[in-house]
Amino acid sequence: MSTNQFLEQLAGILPDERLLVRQEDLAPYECDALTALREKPLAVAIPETEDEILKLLEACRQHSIAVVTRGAGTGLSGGARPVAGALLVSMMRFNRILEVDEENLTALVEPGVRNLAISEAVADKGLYYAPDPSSQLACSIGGNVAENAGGVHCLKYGLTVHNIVGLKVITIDGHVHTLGNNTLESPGYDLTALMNGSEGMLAMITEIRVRLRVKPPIVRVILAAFDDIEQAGNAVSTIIKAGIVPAGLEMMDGDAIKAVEDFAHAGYPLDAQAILLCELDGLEAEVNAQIETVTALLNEQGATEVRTSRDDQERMRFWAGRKSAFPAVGRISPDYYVMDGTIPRAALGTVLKQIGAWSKEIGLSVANVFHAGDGNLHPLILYNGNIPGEVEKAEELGLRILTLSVELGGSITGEHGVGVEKLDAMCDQFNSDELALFHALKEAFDPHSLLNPGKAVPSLHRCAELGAMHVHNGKLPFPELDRF
Amino acid sequence: MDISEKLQKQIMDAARDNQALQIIGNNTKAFYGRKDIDQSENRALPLHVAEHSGILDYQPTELTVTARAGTPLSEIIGVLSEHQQMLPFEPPVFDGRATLGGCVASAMAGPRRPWTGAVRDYLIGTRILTGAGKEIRLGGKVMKNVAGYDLFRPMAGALGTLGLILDITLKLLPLPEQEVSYCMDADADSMQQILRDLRRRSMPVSGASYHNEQFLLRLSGSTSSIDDATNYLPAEMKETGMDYWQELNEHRLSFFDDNRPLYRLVVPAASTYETISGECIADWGGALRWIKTSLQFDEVQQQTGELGGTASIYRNATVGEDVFSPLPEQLLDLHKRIKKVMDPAGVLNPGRLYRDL
Repeated sequence: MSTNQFLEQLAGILPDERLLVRQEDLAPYECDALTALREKPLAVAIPETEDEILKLLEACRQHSIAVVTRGAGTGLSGGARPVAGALLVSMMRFNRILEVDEENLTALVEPGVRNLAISEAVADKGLYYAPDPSSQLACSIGGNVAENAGGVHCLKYGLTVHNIVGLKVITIDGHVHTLGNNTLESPGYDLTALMNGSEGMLAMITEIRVRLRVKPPIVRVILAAFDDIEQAGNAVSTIIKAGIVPAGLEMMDGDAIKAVEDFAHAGYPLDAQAILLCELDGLEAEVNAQIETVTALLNEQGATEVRTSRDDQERMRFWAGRKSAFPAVGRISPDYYVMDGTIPRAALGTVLKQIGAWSKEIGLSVANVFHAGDGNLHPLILYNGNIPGEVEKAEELGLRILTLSVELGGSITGEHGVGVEKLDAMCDQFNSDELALFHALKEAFDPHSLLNPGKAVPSLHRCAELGAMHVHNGKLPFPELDRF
Repeated sequence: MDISEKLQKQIMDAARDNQALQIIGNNTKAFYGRKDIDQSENRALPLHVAEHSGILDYQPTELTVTARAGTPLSEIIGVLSEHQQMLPFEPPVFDGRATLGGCVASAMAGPRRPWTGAVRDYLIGTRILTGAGKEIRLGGKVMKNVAGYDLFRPMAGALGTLGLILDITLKLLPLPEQEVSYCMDADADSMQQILRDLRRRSMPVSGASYHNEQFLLRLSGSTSSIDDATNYLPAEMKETGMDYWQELNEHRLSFFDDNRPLYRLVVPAASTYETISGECIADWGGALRWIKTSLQFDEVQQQTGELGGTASIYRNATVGEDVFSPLPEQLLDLHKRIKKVMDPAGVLNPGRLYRDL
């Protein structure tokens, strides 16, 4: 059957204004926030009902057309980048908050609802939704679940997976499954957890029950400056060791501080080599006691300056700098490449030194921002895409950092996802048995590989071909596979 | 001791021979899960994991611990408490003999669970043997990791049917500075009202149980936060011993000394207690109900369903009887396909969770 027949079938399901096929209409959908990798889909469908989705999936099954689901398109790893010849399904019309259950502290929402819109909708009840990726103003909750999004408060409040209690999903065979419920447990395998971070490859999400939390009475932020970045790293471990779990614990290096201060005027000390932001929330007396403890620890660890936010306005200003780190760096460099590796906290100093050394060797600057509390690094590699060879240099440096993260017991991605961007790095973190198992799991959900094919898990051949480039301790990875 | 090679060989042999295996740690939860007829006739071979024991890595500043599946929970809890840290989900330790592997496989969590989270919330990685005997590492040692499918989380509660857990990495929390227990005579509605009020004020509740018309409350946190909370408790609320919470968690209260089926209901916390007739202890602020009743399991399930929850038989089920709430047919099919991926020959604890898994 031809593409035309497929498109005709779609035209019978959706009205013209919700079925885009002209090249100029497809252009906005050719990438997500990983703009370097683009591909136009065959068509874009914008369904409004579950019934429309079921019919779209039926058409895709009949014609063996791949389906790529897209939320707000703010993803950083290309998870929503179209696959050539695929139908891109935009979930942005699924944008209703269906129910707020104050008694059980949950809300039932559709996947196209913006992350921040949930907190806004329940603010008058003194509640909020905790995960806060930097893109929370724009990103959709469906995309958050697909990528298991993080943010600056994961240390205390978890990733997206810790804040989702139930899902309604549609598998490619057209079956609608309710996973989880509105209680603390549900029978069977924990497929709700499995769906988090599955990057649209196992099923399409149509409803999400999120966990809400009561807003803490008091929130304060400590800003500490250091003239040595390793000292700042040590201070992070000292705070955790003291039995304090801050709501957020963030770090920036000198280059990032300068870029951010210029852009956001957050009042950061420009002569510092590193700053730490430590947010504490809870009851007033408790928070005040913790502030005393943390301040003393920071001073002991050699902080050159320690400030505490006096009110919410000042707290927001302290955060404004950190939250604008990416756009701020975007202003000082024509291009930048964001990394997302995670390492054990104790290795922070080692990794920073190594990144510094590689940065000199390769000749590209790196501005570092970290979710220091949970060991999630965001080195921003600065380059100029117009200078021949710089993209490749940036990728080389990025891959070295990710490989190091894995060697130290960490991960290639803490919160941005693999998408199409980190497929090669996946070969570092997982062996062929593990990757084969992931492929088999995908097949259990989607036997003909129609849902977001080729994302998140690299093929074994891809890893084998790449293997020649990464020889660790003389051992060739994937020795059991043929080389090409 | 590391006996993973021996375990691997046993699983590979079993897979080759289509021989069912029954995974056993220290056998403290033999009562739990579905009792397959095959197993009662001793057709399943025991796969003993208890010797595969020992803490592999504990870094207090990382707030993580890695230990082999056979390690007794009591050993882990002891080591953590030396560093003022704890397993956040407060698992029952069953006379100190329960193992980490069994704890994760059964996903049993104690009174603290509604306020701190479930077993799966603190799992950050595991190494398993699949039913084909392949060693697979899922997740890792860091708390933020979104590479690959989160297959390690469904290991919590899978009752060993998705793989034999070899070792586990968990996220930890600091031990609270102080814990205090209170009780008062109350009806269930006033308990809910008090809990709502404490929640609205962000008070550090860590246990709330209802038993014999008594409301028992536990607070855990800094001294200052507990002092603060005390101001908002009703005057009738009196301080009481901490033992209750352990007795409840370990099922040592006289309520649990009974040969009848013990039903375990997970429901919305404020659900009425009127629907299901029988004796009841509520934990988790009302969200977990232990029920002894003359009703049959299907009646219990139906009435629990009306409350918006699900029911299971925790203890004293008959052989061959289904003990967990049935899954819709298409969802069960999906479970079977996942099981097939993890355990192609179906040798790991077959029938323990559901008849055909």
